[in-house]
Amino acid sequence: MTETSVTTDPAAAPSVASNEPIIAIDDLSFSYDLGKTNTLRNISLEIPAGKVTAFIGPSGCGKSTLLRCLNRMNDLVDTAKVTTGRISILGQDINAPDVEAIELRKHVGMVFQKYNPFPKSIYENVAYGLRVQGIKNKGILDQAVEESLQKAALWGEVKDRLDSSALGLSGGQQQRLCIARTIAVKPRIVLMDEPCSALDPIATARIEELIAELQEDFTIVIVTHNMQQATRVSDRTAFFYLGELIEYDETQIIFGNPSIKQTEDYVSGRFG
Amino acid sequence: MPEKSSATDARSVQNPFRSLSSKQKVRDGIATGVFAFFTYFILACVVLILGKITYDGAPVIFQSEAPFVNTDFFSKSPMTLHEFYNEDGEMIRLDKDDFDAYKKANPDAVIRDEHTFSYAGGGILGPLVGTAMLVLFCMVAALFIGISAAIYLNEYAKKGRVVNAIRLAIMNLAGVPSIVFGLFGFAFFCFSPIFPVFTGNPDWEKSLLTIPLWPSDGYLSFQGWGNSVIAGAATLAVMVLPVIIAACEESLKAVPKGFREASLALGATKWQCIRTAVLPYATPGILTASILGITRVAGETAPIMFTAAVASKGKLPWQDTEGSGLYWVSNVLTQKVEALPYHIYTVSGKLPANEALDDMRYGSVFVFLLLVIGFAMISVVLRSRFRKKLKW
Amino acid sequence: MAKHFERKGRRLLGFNLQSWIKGFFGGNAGLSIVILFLICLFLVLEAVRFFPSHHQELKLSQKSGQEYVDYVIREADEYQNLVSFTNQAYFQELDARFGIERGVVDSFGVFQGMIEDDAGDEMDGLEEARDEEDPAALKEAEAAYQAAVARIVNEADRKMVDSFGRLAENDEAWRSVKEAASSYDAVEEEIPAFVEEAETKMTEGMASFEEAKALISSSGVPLKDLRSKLVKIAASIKDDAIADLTASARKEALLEGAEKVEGEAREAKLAEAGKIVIQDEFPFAERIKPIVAAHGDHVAAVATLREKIQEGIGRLPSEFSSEPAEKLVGKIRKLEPKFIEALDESIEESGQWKWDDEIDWVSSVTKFFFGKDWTTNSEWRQVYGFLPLFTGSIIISLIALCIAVPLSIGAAIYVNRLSTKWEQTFIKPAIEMIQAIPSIVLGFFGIMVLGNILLEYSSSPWISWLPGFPITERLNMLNAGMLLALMAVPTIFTLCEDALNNVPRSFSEASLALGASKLQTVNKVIVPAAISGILAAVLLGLGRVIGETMVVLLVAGNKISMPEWSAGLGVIAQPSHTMTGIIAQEMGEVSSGTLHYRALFLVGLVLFTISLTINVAAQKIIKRLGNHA
Repeated sequence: MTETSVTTDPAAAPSVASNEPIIAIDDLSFSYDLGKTNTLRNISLEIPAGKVTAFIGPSGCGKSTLLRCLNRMNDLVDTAKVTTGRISILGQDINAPDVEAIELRKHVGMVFQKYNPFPKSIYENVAYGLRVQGIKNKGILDQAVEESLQKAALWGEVKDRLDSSALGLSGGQQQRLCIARTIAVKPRIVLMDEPCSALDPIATARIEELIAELQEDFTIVIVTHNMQQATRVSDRTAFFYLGELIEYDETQIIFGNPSIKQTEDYVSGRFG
Repeated sequence: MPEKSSATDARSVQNPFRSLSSKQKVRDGIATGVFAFFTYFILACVVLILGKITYDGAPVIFQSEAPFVNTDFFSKSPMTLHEFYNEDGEMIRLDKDDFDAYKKANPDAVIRDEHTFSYAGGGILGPLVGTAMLVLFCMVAALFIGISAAIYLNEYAKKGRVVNAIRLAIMNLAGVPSIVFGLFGFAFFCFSPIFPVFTGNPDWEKSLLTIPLWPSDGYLSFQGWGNSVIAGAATLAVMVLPVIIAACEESLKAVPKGFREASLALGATKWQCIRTAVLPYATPGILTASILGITRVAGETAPIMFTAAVASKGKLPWQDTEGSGLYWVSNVLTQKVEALPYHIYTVSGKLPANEALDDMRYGSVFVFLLLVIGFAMISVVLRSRFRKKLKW
Repeated sequence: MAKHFERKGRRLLGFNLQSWIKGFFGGNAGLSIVILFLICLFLVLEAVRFFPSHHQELKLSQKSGQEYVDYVIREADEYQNLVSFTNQAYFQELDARFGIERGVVDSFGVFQGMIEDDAGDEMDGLEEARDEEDPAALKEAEAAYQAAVARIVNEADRKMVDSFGRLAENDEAWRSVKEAASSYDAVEEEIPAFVEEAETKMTEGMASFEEAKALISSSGVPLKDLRSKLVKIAASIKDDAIADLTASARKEALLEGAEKVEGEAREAKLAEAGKIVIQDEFPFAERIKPIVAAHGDHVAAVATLREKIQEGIGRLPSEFSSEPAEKLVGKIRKLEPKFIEALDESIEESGQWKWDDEIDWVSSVTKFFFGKDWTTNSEWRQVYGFLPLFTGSIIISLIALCIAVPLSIGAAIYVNRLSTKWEQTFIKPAIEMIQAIPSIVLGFFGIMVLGNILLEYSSSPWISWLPGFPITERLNMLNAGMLLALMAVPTIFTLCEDALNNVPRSFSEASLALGASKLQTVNKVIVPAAISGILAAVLLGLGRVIGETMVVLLVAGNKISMPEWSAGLGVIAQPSHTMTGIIAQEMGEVSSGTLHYRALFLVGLVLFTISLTINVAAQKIIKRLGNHA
């Protein structure tokens, strides 16, 4: 159990001073076809800890790709390759040879565009991440499940039917369950890939509330194509276009007084 | 450069994403290794079997001298092998016809310690011809019915109970053991008095209806086909039908809907549409289906064991068959045939192990395997090629 | 105005051409239902008619006393078993202790025979010369005889004379035998002293064993006599009863036949028909009397057997020079109480047996499904017991699945989730190609290669501890099961791989994003999500295996008997017969309409039902559990 205590006990997790960026991307280029064409080009940005950072931009601009680089989900594509630059999370180059993607993902969780609970019970879904870390103690699991579900504002709705199938929940509930599942392993960072795109406005609102609450415990990076959402939930916003980072600043500045024309055109709805 | 070195130090100390615990890693590695071992173990078994048969069978078929192929093996039917010692104490092995010729040519030759081995001599012409006939007749019937059924299911049928019932029947038919098809064929095609034969002397007791055919002295007798090529082929056709239907349906489905709509929009009738806008594009797929069917049919033994096959016949089906015209055709169709898989069963299962038989055994199995695997390969290659090509 | 959109075309019987075309195609599609229906119909029709005939057959065997005689036969058979074990043990021990002596005696005997066969003329000459008392002729004849004998002895093949190789390591004994044979006088038949000595040594050394053996062999003589007597009586009653049953039908046929022919043939037929007596009822009660009366003899014979055999077994030696003999005698001692118990039971049951008890319908069903014998080629009595065939099929299928399921699921997981792209491109088609290998080829491989491999290597020390190893029979259930496993692999693999493929990508993404390793993802998410498909794959694999014919026909050993459960897991190395194998083996030799023919159809019907059930179950599983994805 020694190896698991590292991740379950936040105190033992590596920490960074609050003023330091938790994620530092430096001149990153990324390709899906072994470097023939770059999907992302020369991206540099620093994401502060404890804040919500939004990635916006038109479809195909590379914002989701960048997000998936952050927990190396792109490893699943055989031909994916980081061509230049580096990503440091918690001060560590995550593409270094001695970094294990599996360990990285325990620290950098992810919520997907389409909610994807496992065909298991609600309880088992939330406990899954802990179980794969080898935790079998029922007490710890119970506590973690309750805590996570409470944080995901789902506890009240499901506490009486933890053993029923997760697939019986509504779409919004399923997405919140996925969030609960992600935060149950206590990651430092939660990546959200358009988490509301498959939900109706009411469910969306609840998720947005949830993001605001989660901000206290986690650093959140959210990809969205909904600019209102970005203004509502994020502290900082990065605007991408055609695989390049166009502008990155405080959200109010991006939406109120962007310094680059392209950004202004996009946020005011002139294209995209 | 003190700064840089301290940075690397710090990183190596506090890399939070160091590799997994060794326990987990070992477990993953072992499991992956086991799965990989299973996979390659299966392949190794196959290679062992095919290799052994090729190793012992290929030398029977191929020779180092021109014409490089053992022509006797393909131009003679199975016959008895005579083994004896001549006056010099040499062991000689001759097929029955060669042996007879040898005795005729050297009437005074010393023949000592003569042994005979049934089926060990000659070649496999008879079984090859028999199997070819069975496959041919079977495929004609199965393709005709199978393609029609597939057209109905894919083009005409609307969702409903009838179609569901048909699909259920096809699916279940596919799971019936081949020996049960054999039983069915035996009772139905061989002995049901609804299948007619032309014959000079009908079996009055079995025959349901006997129609004399003037002016000849023959009869059209409904007495079942008996153990015969046609009964065997029909049994095989019934067995392979689900495979053919499924494969044909797949190839019909691959024809884009747009073709049909375009054709119908131009005022074609349903049948015109099928004939001109669907079938031409489905032909390659149907061809593949038929080759797949051949593979299945040629390899089966159980259904023909008691509907069509005979261990030894001596003659080819069309040699010495009586009658002319329709009678001749009927007589050819209603006689038993040798078949390659049944021949293998006979030489390997019914006869005691003997080194003199080994050439015949391995040779037949090798040829059989070559044929069946060859057809299977063709169907796989064709199928993948059509799938690639058929991106409309 | 012309009607623009009216249907055109000729009509036939109220339908237009398009409807006819549709009907044609529909008819062909419907054919599959018709075929399935016909298969069911033919199987059921023939199979169901088995039961009345079977009932009749059972009644006949009861009323003719065959049932009773079967008790005697079973007792005698079991007794014969013990006798043959005893004989085997005896000769093993004899060889171990007096191998050389036995070799001497046997080899000399072979020489004797050869001399008598090949030097017959010379022997006659010698005998004649001796009678005539002409010294010159006698000398000549003696010389001729000795020359012939010397030639025979010198030319004789050592391996043929000493066929068991008993003297192979003792050249001296061999030389003495040869010398003795060379100087043997076949006319006077004088056995040389040293051969006689060897014989005496053997008899004396084995005296006590010999005595026990004789006691055991003689103990069953009355029972065996009784058996042959009763078998004859019962068989004749049955034959007459069958003749009687069919009498009226035969008479009718003869009379009918007589109508069709003229002259002498007609007379002959009429005369024959006249000979057939039609009785109101066959006098079973009268005919069965000798069998009923024989019960007393039966009890007495068994009592003698019991007493003598127990004494005989008691007298068997307890110390041996030969290990097999010791094992065999141990086996006999172990079997003895069971044998005695079975005897008592049999006597008791046969005492209660009555020839006129009513046999009900149910027993014609239960005797088929739970009967442990399947005997069809015996003159004595046909017995149809399905159980050994069923167990054979099931055990072989289980062996096959135990091998195939882990292999193919493991391979499917590997290919689908763990292997490289490059591996996928050749492994998948390669495994699917296995499906194209005809079963007869696999059976051929089993009979020609695998059987010998198993036989040879199963005794090597690093695997001989496995249950059933070392293997004693080349053709057995394990051999068949291994080959069938290979046949099941492509089915299970392909369907499993499909099932794994159908698991949505999002599941594995979610799992990986939570920090699970590839293997954990497979274990905890992919396999559980695909479990219905995997289960269905295993079921369909079972269906394929249980219906397979040629491999089991060639390789399973074709021995119709219940497996010996006492071997534990070792039963897998025993030969057996199967449902499919019995149909394939016997169908070609039966004439339609007989009891045997129908019994085979009934087996076919059971097989058909099993595979249909498996198929339907697999489809249900896929439907019911498969829609969450």
